[in-house]
Amino acid sequence: MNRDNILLDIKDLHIEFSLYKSTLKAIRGISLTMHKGETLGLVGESGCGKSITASSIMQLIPCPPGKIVSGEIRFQGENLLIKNDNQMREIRGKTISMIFQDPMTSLNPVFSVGDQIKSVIKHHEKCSTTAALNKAAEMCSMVGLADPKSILKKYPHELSGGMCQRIMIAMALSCRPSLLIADEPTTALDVTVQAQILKLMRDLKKEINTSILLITHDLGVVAKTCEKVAVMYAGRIVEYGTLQHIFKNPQHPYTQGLLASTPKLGGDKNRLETIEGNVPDLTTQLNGCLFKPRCNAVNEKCAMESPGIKEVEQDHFLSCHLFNTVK
Amino acid sequence: MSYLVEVNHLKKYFPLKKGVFSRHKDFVCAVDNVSFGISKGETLGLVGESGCGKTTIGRTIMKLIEPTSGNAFFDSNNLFLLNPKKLREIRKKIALVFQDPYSSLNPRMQVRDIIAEPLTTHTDIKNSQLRDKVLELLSYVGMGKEHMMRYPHQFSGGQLQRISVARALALNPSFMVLDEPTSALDVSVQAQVLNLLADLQETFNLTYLFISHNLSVVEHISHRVAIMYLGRIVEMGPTKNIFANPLHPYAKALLSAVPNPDPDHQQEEVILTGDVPSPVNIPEGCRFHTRCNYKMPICQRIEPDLKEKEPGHEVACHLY
Repeated sequence: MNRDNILLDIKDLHIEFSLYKSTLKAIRGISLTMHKGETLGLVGESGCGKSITASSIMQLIPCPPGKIVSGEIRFQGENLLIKNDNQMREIRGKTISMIFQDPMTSLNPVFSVGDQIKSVIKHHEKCSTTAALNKAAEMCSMVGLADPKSILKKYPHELSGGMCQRIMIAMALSCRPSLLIADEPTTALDVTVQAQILKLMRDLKKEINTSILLITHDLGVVAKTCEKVAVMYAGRIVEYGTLQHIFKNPQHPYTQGLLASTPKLGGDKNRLETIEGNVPDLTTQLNGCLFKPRCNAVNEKCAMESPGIKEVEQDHFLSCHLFNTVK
Repeated sequence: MSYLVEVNHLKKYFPLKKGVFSRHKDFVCAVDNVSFGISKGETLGLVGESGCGKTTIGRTIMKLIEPTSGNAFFDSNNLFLLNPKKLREIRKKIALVFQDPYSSLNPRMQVRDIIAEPLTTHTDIKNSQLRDKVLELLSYVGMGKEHMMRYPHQFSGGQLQRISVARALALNPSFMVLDEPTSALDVSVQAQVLNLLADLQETFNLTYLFISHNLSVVEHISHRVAIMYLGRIVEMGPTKNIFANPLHPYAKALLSAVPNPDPDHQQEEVILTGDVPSPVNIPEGCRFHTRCNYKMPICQRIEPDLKEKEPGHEVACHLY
């Protein structure tokens, strides 16, 4: 891929949280590249560090207890980690914006939604209040809310979950960001509303050509919206590739297990495959491959060294010792 | 066919108070005239979106909340008419597994006490016998001696849900209400719990009412499925028929909205507009007509009843 085309480049990121007695190593060396106009899905089970990776891009990790130990996050060539608060404020909402998981709690309950969208626009674009409100109304109709003028006067508790999420999307896209981070945007919603929001995100992406980093634990949502997928396990990326690679030709035992344990509509009614055991405790000292205790295909190398991430075919990266021995 | 559990015309309205002296009360129609039956050894899946009354049905059958009207029969005993003493006897045969394993187990009790509690309440086994029974129950769910002395915070979500299942099994129930047992769990762990439930059903010939909003999970585990919308069952039938050939427009939309984890899977998408109406002001006529793509004039006036379209496959829609 063309180097100029790179939008976001994360290199060897390590994040730790200091707890009362121990340190939790939440992110253990993530490297990730996103190109312009791409939709990347970040999947994994709870506690694997998906949301922390996303928050670290926006520098929203509470510090203390959180701390970015090493690594760099380059966005359009600039390292975000050395920027100060004022510089970050210009970036948040303008070039990178974020949608959070629970729309009902991420809007401020004491301001009308119009006020909240307006303040984002006024902060980033020098314009009058009326112009900002007009823009807010325009954004509302873009995300498919009927009668935007009256909706802007409403407070979050007067709107349903799906409508709140549309407001969040309108707010996030109001300054036409180059990167939209969506952290589980549909998890709190019902399936029929989820289908509406996913369709809206697909349509808007075509319209304003934003790149989307979609964080989710639902493989179905990824299959419907993303072009590239990164699978995370215990603070590391175990497999990264195009949708076809990950869903049709998964190489890592964890990706295979994850796909097999997901019940599918119309699938056969046999027993589900399971991944035995549980996610490791990240506060303890862990050596070697982190998936080793749950893996079916362990060899002696797995206990000793942690597998690095390697390209196994074009655009398909894998972090597993198994691949070397098989081929 | 005789059913082990039968629910007839169950209604549950929750009153909403407006002001201190207000005489007018509004009602949340959580469950409105629902009837179904479950035969022995069968799993009925109850699906629907949030707020459609799934959980209320489960809890009313357990008599954890008082029904407004209707009947529920278990083994030909009317649960709603029994005196407290008899009800206590029958409760041994019905068990409930809650959605959130983190909050449904007492954090200040050890696992052995949690599992022993139903046994000490309902039976008089003691000491070493009790300990053996707890061990036996733990072994059913794939856990052992080393877990007995621990407290809930020392376990992961999947393990806690196993403990809840073990507790539910303590009194050899014949009927279990599973209220979203896997929605708080990750997929790899969800698969473990689903397999466990299927195994237990086979071993003990259990009857399940499986409440969930996750259609793929329901399809996987249920023999029959009932789809609810705003407090009513709109379609009910064998799992295969419902998923291969949904009849009700809501069922069609619901099924097509489930994202399939297969990038090549092409499906016709029926996208509904709008949101579920509030259960306080239920639309007149068919309650789905505000979002329906096949609306007819009759839908705004008359509420359709469940009618049998194919053998065992019922649907409540004027189209049929």
